[in-house]
Amino acid sequence: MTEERETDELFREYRRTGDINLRNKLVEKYLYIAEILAKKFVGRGVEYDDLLQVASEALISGVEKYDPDLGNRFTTYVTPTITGNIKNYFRDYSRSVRLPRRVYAAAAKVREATNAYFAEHGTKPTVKQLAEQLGLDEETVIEALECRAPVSLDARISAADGEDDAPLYDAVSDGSGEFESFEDRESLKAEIKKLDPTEQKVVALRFLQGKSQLEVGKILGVSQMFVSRAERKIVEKLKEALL
Amino acid sequence: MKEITVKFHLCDSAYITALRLVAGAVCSAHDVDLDTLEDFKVCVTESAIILKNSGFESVSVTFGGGDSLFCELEGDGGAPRDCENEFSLALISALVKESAFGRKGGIVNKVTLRI
Repeated sequence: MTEERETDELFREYRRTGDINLRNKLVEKYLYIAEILAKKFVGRGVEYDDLLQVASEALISGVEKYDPDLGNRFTTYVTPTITGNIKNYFRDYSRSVRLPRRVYAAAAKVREATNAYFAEHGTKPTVKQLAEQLGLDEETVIEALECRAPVSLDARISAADGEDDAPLYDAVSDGSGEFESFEDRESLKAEIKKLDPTEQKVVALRFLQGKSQLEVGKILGVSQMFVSRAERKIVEKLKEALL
Repeated sequence: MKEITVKFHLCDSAYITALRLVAGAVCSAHDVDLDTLEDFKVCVTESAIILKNSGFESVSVTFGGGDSLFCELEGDGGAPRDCENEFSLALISALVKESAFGRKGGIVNKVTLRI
């Protein structure tokens, strides 16, 4: 049996049994991927140990969710997951205004109440409604909403010494995994510019803002199916142009 | 709602966060739902980033509105220069009902948003 098949068999056994020792064995085997990816982001104002921790957490999550029978190799599957988690970490880290701890505590309540309201009414509440429901003042709710706000990829971040100012986009792009195909940022941007205006909006909303297909559909006044088809078409166009 | 104007430096992202807080407060006063509030804050942020990347030193932001909420951001000072803003422009036009971009010498120096 080849090493790859043996590993797949380990994954299958872990999925069957949920044995924590098997999971740890798999995590140890692939820890080198977390180390390589963490090293790629060193020198941007975040300690290597912190990056490795984020990468390792993503690796554990990847091991827990990976299904070898879906066709992808584990390394192919987990690399974008780890990179994505590091990106999110940079996004949070780049927030230079540290809000008070009480605001972060309120943020969890606000998220929970918002989801409950949406489940009941099918619309999102207003700040006033949330404040009344949670017994908080409106200012705290407004601050709490800032805790998980998206940051523009064009925003600039600084290293710890205040120098080496660079776009967040540069900090989160790397040369591994799926991103390897994109020879450089400029060629990707050039190809996106060739898309029609609606497709460009889909790219911005789906891939920069992280909105769901349903949300994008509502914004653009089209169905979720339309967005899904447009997204597939866009990815095919970009792949064709860049590969 | 009475018009209010605030002015922020663009040199530090801390000011952008402060601007987002103001935008959130204005939306709250206008009693809009959270989805609209978040979209509005994204557009205000992207507009400020356009002006920052265009080399402006500070931004004057006026909020106001009756039936619909509006925000006008105008860059000031610094050394304005042309720069690429495709993604920001696409986002803004997708998220607000109306948007307009004022240009001086080909450089975006004013953004108006309405929801």
